[in-house]
Amino acid sequence: MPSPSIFGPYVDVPAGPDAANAPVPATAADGASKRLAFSMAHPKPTEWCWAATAAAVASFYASVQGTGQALTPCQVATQCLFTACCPEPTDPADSRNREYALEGALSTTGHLAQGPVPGTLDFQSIVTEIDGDRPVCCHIAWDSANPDNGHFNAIVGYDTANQDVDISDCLYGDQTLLYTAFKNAYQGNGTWDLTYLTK
Amino acid sequence: MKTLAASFLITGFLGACASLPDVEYSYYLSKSQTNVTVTQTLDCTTDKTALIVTNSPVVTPVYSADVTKAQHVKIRDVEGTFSPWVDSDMSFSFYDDGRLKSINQSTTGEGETIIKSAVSLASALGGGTPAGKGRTLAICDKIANWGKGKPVSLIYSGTIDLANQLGKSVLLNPADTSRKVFAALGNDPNVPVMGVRVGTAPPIASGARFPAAGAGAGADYVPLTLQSTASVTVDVTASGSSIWTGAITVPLSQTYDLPIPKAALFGKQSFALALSEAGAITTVEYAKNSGAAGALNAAGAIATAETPETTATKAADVKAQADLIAQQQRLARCQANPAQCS
Repeated sequence: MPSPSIFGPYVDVPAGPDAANAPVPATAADGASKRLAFSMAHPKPTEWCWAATAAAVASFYASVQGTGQALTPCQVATQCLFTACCPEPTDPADSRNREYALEGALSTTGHLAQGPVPGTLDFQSIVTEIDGDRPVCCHIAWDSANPDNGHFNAIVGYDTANQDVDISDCLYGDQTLLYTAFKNAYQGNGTWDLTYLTK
Repeated sequence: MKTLAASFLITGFLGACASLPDVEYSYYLSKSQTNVTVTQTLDCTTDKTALIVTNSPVVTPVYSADVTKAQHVKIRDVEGTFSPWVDSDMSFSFYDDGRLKSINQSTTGEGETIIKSAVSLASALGGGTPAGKGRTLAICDKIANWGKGKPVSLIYSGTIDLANQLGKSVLLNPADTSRKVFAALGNDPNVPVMGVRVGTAPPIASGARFPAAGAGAGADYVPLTLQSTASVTVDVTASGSSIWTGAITVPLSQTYDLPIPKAALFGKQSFALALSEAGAITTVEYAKNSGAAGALNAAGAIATAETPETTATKAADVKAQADLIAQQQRLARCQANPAQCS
C-alpha cells in the first residue's frame, strides 16, 4: 500500500500507463488503490478508542474538506462524558476511562452519516466510500455473546489488486490486512459486526 | 389532546346596532420545556461478568405562555370599514395561561396524549482490548450489596429548553430519589452516561403564510401574529447510544402574520382557526357565503411529534412508575439469568 502523500489527502495509484492522468474510478479488477490521509491518536485511557476514532474522523474532515474542527480524543471525551477529560486521565481505574457508543461520539462531532448499520460493507462499497474521501468506521466484537466487549477502528484505504484494506486503529496502529481477515479474524478473534458511515 | 386548560371563551358580537366597546384581545405566544425521565435497572449475570442495563425513557413536552411576548387584536379592526352596518360575530378562546387556542372554533385539533415508555437496551459500545473478557465486574458486587440480591433501579431526569439547545447534548442527572444509589454505583464506568441529544430545527413548512405586503389601515384584513414552530428530533442516549428517538414540536421566537378578514358589507365572510399548545396551526378556515370552505388542516405537520402530557396522565404515569420498575427488574433478571425466568 502506498503511504499518505504530503501533497494531498491520499495517493491514487491507477493501473496502466496513464498514471499521470486523472484518477481512474476503481473497480475490483483494475488494481487501483487509495489511502486517505488519516491519522489516529493513541490515547492513554485504554477504553477510549471511540474517542480516538471520532477525533481522527473529525480531524480528517477538518483538514481535507475544511468542515468542522480538528479534535483530540480528550476533547471528544469531554463533550460526550459531560466532564473535563483533558488532560487525558492516566489511571486505568479512572471513571472517565469508559466505553461509549461510537455513533454518539460521531453525532456529537457532526460526522455520523449513518449507523450503526449491522454487518459489514462489501469490498466495492468500501472502495466507493474511500473514493468519496469518507473513512468507514467499524465496531469489532471480541465476544459475540457480549457486544459491549468491543472495539472501534476505521478503514481508511484499499487495494483492489490484493483485496486488502488499510486500517487505522488506536490500539494496534496502522495495518494493511486482507479484507476477509479484517472482517472475520481481526487480531485473531475480532469480528467486524457494525458499520458507521461518516460525512 | 384533551387539554388540561379549562379554557375560557370570550365571544365578541360585532353588532350593527349594538354599542360595542373597543375591546382589545391580548394573548401570549408559547414557549416550551421538555421533561425527560429515564427509569434504569441494573443487574448482573450470575457469573458477574456482564452488566444488564434496561432503560425506559419518557419524554414529555410542556407548553406554557411566554408572558414576555404579548400580542393584541382589536375587534374594531376586525369589524372593519363597514362597522355600523355589518352583523358578524367572532369568538376567541384561550388556554388558561393566556395563549390563543382558537378563533371561531369550539375545539382544537390535537390528538390524544402519547407517552413513550418502551424498555430498550443500548446498542453495542466499545472501548479497547479484549483483555476484560470473562473478568468479574466490580459493579456487580455493588449491585448485589445495594439491592440485597435484587436488581437496582435508578431514575434520571432533566428539563430541557430544546429551542436553546439545538444541535447540543445535555446530561441527564439522577433524580433526587436516586442520588444515593447513584453515588454508590454511578461512578462505575460500566454505568452508562445518560444524556439527551437535541437535533436541529427545520421549521415546519406546512401551515398558512401570508405576505405582509398590503397590511395597514386600508387593508381588508387584520394581521394576527402567530409564531413559527419546528419539529426537533430528540435522542435519549445511554453512553451515546440512542435508546429513544422522537420529534418534538417546539415554538420558535420567529413570528408571522396570519390575516383575519374584516367583516364584509354583504354576505357572510367567516374565519376559523385552531392552534396547538405549541402555537402551531392545526386548523385554519376561510369561507365566503357562496364559496366552499377553504380549510387547511395543518395537523399533519405535527402528526409525528410527541404531544404534551396532561396532569391526569402524569399522575397515572407516576403511579405506573413503580410497576415499571418491577417489570424492568423482572426483565433484567430474565436477561441476566434466563434459567430463572419463568
